[in-house]
Amino acid sequence: MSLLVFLVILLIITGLVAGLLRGFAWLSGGLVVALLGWLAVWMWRLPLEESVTVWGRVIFLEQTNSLLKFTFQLTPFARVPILLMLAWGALFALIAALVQVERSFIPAIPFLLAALVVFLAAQPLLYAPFWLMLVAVLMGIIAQGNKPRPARAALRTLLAPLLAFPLFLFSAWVFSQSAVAAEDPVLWTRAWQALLVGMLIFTSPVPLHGWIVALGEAASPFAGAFLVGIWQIAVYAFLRRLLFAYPSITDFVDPGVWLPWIAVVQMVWAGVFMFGSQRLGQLWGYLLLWMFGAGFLAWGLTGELGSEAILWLFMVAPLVLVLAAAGLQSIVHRFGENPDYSQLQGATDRLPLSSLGFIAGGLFLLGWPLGALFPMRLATYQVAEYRAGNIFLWTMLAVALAVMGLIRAVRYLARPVGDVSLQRESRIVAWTIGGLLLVGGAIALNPGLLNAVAEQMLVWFNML
Amino acid sequence: MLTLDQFLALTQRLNNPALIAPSVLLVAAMLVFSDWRLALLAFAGVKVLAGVLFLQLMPPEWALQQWVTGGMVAIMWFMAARRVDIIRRKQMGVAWWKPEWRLNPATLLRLAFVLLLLVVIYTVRPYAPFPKLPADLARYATFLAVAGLVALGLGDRPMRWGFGLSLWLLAASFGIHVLQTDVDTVGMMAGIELLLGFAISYFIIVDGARFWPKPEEA
Repeated sequence: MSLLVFLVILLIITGLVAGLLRGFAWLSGGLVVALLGWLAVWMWRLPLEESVTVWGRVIFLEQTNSLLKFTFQLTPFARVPILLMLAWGALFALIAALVQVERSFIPAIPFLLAALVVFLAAQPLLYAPFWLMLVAVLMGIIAQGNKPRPARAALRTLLAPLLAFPLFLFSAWVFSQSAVAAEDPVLWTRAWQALLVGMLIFTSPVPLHGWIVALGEAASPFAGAFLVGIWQIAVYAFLRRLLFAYPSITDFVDPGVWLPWIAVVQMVWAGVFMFGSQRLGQLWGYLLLWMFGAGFLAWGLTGELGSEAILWLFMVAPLVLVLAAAGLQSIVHRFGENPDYSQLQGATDRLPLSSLGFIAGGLFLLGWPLGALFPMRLATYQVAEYRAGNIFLWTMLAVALAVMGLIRAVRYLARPVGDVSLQRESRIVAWTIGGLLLVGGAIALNPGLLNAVAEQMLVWFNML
Repeated sequence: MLTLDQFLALTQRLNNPALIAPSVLLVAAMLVFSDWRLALLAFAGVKVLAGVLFLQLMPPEWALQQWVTGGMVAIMWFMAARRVDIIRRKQMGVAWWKPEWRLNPATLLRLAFVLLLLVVIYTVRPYAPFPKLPADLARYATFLAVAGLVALGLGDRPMRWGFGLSLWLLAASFGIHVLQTDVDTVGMMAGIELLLGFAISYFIIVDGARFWPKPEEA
C-alpha cells in the first residue's frame, strides 16, 4: 500500500466514524484530534525512502498510484503542507469540541484533508487543480454547516477552481506541444498568460475575494477561519511548486512585484471595510481577508528566502485564529449569527473572556505585541519598509484601518447590558480562551521555540 | 426504433451552425426566467444544442456526453428544487402547478442585463480567439463565457450560480475539446460538471429550506 492510499483511507474512515458520533461532540472531537495528531507525529518521524510497517501492513513511501491522466505520489515536498494541515485540523477540532460548534464541522475535517492530500500528491501539476474542485465542494459543504442558511459563502467557494481549471488545461496542452513555441509564438504567449491568470485567480485578488468575506458572514467562525487558512496553505504550496516547475513565467510578470500588490490591495480593502462594518460577521470576514493578504505579502516580499518564516507563520497562525474564532463563537451563541452591532449590548459584561478573545485575537492577527504572530508581522513590516516604501505605507494604512475597525467593535461590545436574562459565558470557553492567550503569549516571547520544526520542514519543502 | 448508429448519424445531420441562434435565446431565457422549472427547461435545451454543436469537434459518442452529463445535472437540480418547492407550496397552501412568474424588480433587472448582453453580443460581436476553434463556435463560446459571468452577478441563489458556472464550463469545453479530445480530458470536464451539479443540488436544498414556513415539519 502506498503512503497516499494509507492516508486517504484512514482520513475517510475517521471522518465516517466521527460523523456517526457527531451527536457526542466530545467523542467525535476527541477521535479526530487523536487521529490527526497521531498522523502528524507519525508523518513527522517517517523516513524519506523505503517502507514502514503500520498495524501489520507495509507502507511503501515512494510508491505511486495512477488514475486517468494523474500519477499520485506523496513526495517529501507534499508532506510539509500535509503536516501543517493535519496540525490545523487537530487544533481546530480540539477547540471546536470544547466550545461546541455546529456538529457537522468536526467530522468534515478529515474528509477535507483527504481531498487536499490527493490534490497535493497529484501530477502532472497543471492538471492537479481538478482535485481542487473536489476540495472546493467539500469546503462549500462545510461552510453551509448542514443548516438552512444562505448559500452565498458555499457558492463563492466554488468560483476559483472552476474559473481557473480550464486555463490550466489550456496551458498544459500548449506546453505539451514541443513545436508550438517556434511555430506559433502568439499561442505560446497566450498559454503563459492563461497560466498566470489561473495563478492569480487562486490568490483571490480583489474582486475575487468575495468568498472569504462571505465565509466570515455566512459560515460559523471556526469553519470560516479553518477554510481560509487551509486554502492558503494549499495554494501557497501549489503556486510555489508551479513557479519552480515553470520558471519562465517570470519573463511575463515577476511574482515578486505582483504578489505584494495583490496582497496590499486585499489588506487595504479589508481594512476599509473592517472600519465600516456594521455586523460582527462582516468584521470577521474582512479580518480573514486581511490575514489572507498578510500571508501573501510576507511571501511576495521575501520570496524563497522567506520560506522558513512562511512555514513558521502557518504553524502559529491557527493558534491566533482559534482564539478569535472561539471568542466570536461564544458571542454568536448568545446574540445569533452575524449579529448587528446594535444588538451587542452587555457582551463585555456577560462574556468578558469571549469578547477579549475575539478582540485580542483580531489584534494579534494584525501583529499586535504579545500575540503569537507579533514577530512574523513585525518582520514583514520591516522588510516592506526596507524594500518597498509604497507597499509599507499602504500596509500601515491597512493596519491602522483594521485596528480602528476592531476599536469600533469594542465600543459596541462594551455597551451596558440591555437584556438582564443574557447568560454568562461557559466556564470551558473561558478556560479555553485563557489557555490560548497564554500559549500565544509564550510563543510571542520565545518565537525560537518552533524554529527547529520550521527548519526541518524547509528541508523537505525544498525537495521538489 | 433507431439503433445507436442510426441515432448518431441522425444527430450528425442535425449539426448546423444555425443551432447557435436558438441556443443563444435559450441561454437568455435561462438567465431571465424566475420560475425554476422554465429556467431548468432552457438549461436542458442549451445542453442538447451544445451537444449537437460539439459534433463539429469530436466523435458523436463523445460529443453527446454533453447530453448525458447535462441530463444528469438537470435531473439532480430538478429533484432538489422540486423538493424545496413542494414542501414550501404545501406549507403555504399553494397548488404545485401554479407558475411563479414574478415580474418584480429583480426579474426586470435580470431582463435589462440580459437584453444589454444580447445587444452587445449582436453589435460588437466579441470574439475570444480560441486556437483551432471555428469562428462561429468561437463567438458562441465567447458568448457562453460572458453570459456565465453575467449570471454569477445576477444573484446569490444556487441554481442561478449553477447556470453561470455551467455556462463557463461549457464555453471552456469548446476551447479545450478542440485541442484535446482524449478520453481523460473529456472525462475530467464531465467529472467537474457532475461534481458541480452535485454540489449545487445540495445547496439548492439547504438554501431553499430557509423559505419553508415550518421547517421543523419538513
